[in-house]
Amino acid sequence: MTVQTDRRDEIVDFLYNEARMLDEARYNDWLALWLETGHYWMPLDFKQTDPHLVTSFLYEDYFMIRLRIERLDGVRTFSQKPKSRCLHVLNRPFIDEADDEAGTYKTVTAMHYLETRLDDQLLLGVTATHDLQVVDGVLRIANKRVDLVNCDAAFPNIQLLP
Amino acid sequence: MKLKLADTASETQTIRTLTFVAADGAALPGYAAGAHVTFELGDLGTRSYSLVDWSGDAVHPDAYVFGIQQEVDGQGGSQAMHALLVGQEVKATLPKNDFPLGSDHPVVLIAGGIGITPMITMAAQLQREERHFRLHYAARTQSLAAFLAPMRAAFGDSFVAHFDDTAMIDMATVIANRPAGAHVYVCGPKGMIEAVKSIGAEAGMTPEEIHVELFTTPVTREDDKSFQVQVNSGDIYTVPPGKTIIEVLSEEGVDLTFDCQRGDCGICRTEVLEGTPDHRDVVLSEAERAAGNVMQICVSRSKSTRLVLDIDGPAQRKVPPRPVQITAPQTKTPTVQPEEASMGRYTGNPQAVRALFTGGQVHRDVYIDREIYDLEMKHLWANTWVYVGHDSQVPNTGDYFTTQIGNQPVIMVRHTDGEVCVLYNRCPHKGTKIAIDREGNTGKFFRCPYHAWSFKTDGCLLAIPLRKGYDGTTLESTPNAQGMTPVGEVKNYRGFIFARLAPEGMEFEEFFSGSLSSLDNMVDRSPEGRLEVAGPPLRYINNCNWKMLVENQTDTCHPMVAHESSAGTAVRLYEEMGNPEPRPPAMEIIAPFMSPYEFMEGMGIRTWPNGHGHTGVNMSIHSDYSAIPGYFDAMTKAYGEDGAKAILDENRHNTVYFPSIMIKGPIQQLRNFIPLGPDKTLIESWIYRLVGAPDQLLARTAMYNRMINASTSMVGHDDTEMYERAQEGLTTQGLEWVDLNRLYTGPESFEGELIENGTSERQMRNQFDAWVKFMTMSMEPQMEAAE
Repeated sequence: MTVQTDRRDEIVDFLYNEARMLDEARYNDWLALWLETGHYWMPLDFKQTDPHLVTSFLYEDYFMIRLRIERLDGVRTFSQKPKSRCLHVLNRPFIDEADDEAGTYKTVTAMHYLETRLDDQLLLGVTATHDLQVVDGVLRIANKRVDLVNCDAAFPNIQLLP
Repeated sequence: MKLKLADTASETQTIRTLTFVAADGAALPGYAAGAHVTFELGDLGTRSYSLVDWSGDAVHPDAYVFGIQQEVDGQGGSQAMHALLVGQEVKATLPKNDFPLGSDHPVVLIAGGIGITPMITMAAQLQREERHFRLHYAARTQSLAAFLAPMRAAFGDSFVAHFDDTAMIDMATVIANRPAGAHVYVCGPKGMIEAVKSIGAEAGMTPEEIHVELFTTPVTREDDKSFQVQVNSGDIYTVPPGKTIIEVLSEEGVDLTFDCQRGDCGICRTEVLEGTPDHRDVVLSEAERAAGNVMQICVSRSKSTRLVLDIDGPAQRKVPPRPVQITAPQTKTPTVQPEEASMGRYTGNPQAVRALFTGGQVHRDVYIDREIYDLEMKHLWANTWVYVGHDSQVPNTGDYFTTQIGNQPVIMVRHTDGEVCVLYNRCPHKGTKIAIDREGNTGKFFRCPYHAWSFKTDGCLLAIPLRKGYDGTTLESTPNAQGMTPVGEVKNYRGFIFARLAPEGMEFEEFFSGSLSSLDNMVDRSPEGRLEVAGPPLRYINNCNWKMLVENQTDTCHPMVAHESSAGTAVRLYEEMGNPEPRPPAMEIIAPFMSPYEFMEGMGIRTWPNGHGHTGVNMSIHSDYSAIPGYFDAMTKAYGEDGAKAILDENRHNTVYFPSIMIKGPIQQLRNFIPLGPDKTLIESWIYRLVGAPDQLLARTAMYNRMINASTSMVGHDDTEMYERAQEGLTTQGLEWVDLNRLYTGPESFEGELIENGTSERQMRNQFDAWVKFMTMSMEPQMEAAE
């Protein structure tokens, strides 16, 4: 399904780097990848199409994303004492859509997402769909959607960002 | 002169900007930086506030602007100022300046808390005159700091903010780094002024180079006198006006336990052995104040010349200071008995179950004991009416939905006659669950996948393959031959399906009585009087007892503490952005969780018999949601204007239908608490569409659900952390009882409806009163039968 594009390597590197920033808790670097108009969506329903009129896990605008990041470092953020850690293990990304002239791309990346705190460890199978856009010659995240393969299960806290 | 309030704006939870013009419309006299105006507030006396000017030139001001902090523990002056309405007039003096800015030196400005207000004016003037200055602003936390964004914008690199909780101001460095010949101007609390004076002196500054303006803490009064405090060692200390007991004793090396120093956290509560305290806190009850044998030593003083307090003297030994900790109430020597064998302690023993709730406390066994949990499943969850599902989940004949009542798997199904039935999810043959998908359509009958026994949708046996093999057997004489067993009783109340497992018991109407008004209000918010489930629920697991979740629904003293990490950070972030409009949606949903205690007190709590109750009698954190275009018109069309207003003016917060659910009427949300074990609970958080109302309402409801209740919700993370810590903490042998005493006044009746202060734990006690009732009501006959 992967389509042809001049930026293939750049896109793949971008996606791996993004995951690494999250794993290394470099959240400000990660935030800088985002366009401020973007949304981070994690649907609740399998193959959900509407983020507004049914519940999602996340449908975060830029303010909410910033709030989430800020909170993780808060003096009185007790659910992060001690802090959680996470690991993204990526499959080879698919580039489903590419428009080199417009600088827009859609990628689909399957991954294992692992989050741990104290004695607990959670493993999620997720599929991340990125809308990427070139702005001033650099790739940015226009929107990101993360689908949990077991979205209908009952979960404990998921505190970091799959 | 007379000033007229022209405008107000909220800067933080407690600080407002008030803008006044001359009541007669005349031009206002000009003033220089550092000036203040004194307001005359009738019986409350006078209050002085510094003038705030951002232009740098207040020679011909259009208005007088003030930043005023509401002091809940003050004497009402700031509250009176906050309560002024636009257009109201108040008497005031002409501007007066006791804190003028010198003209021939570099300037370091240091402000603490609300002491920032004259500093803004000074900084603006210095900026306009292109003089060198630096403005240091110290606040307790970022969320309590006002005017951050405009100061950053106006003063750029000349402005530095310091927050006690992250990077406290280092006064020595601030003073050391002053330019040659600089004067320091400081406005803030006494401690800060004293620090600047002593550090400045050490750094070689002359008194003329340090300019101070004290903003008196609200609990200090002009007629405060010295008094003596005697502690257990016999040492006597003198507490002068302007100093608190904590300040004096701490300086003398007495090790005290305290936190807020504002009189509202309650941690420094101290027993008074002799003398008469002058209470200035907001923690103690009227009865405690009257009794006079306890006091909060952070703000309260003494009416008598000496107080004898139950405080140990200064440490005799040279030991490292203990970390500050909350002192546990004095208890007798722990009398922890070796654990008896679990089974048999409570089974068939209603007295032992009753003894677990004393009225003000509850024994930890209700949360952690396996036998109690099993008895809850057998008695409490069978004798009460438990929520099953909503009838819009099963609109067509044969539609079903699987869930649990307590630990009992059940199927809710639309029978061929149109009624909703609730059946135990078990084949009468071998026990196989008939349906395991969460929802579906079974057509006209259920068919067991194992041996194809089939049942009508009301449970009645329809057919067994090769049935003649049972001819003449004992099957016919057993209940198994009847089919799938229905639960005791089912009620469809305006679309909400409740069931009682026990065949006999309290009727639905008696069980819920007046509490149904909350469900009514939620349904009435639909112009068609009808709700529909919107999408799948959030499902999440908390490793805690189900009752902790139910209790937390009416716990109004936790949000501003536990949710400071999420809601407090949201408020701060928004302020840093300069309070842009329209507000980010998160501010509407999350920020109200930081509402102060007095808001929660004013919300009110209402209790009904059998464990039901709600917070938000007068208003709630859901009251200030923005209006959705078209909705009120649709409601008016359906109910008339008065009817619509009556429905929408009711803004109940959380209504608990004990034991199983909580609903939020104003945002059409229902949380279902499904016990999975003594230390494990499944929560489902459902939302509903108001049929006939604009979609924007549902969008807000869905947003609320994900922001507050998802496994990924920051607010949810705050709560879960507390429940799970409590579940773990309760296993310690240090104490056996959990406290529910807030606003408890002795033996209380839960018959009938009652409204109380919103921070009362009466609703939690109500739940345990019902808990005892429905746990034991089916235990006693069993005992008699056994005898």
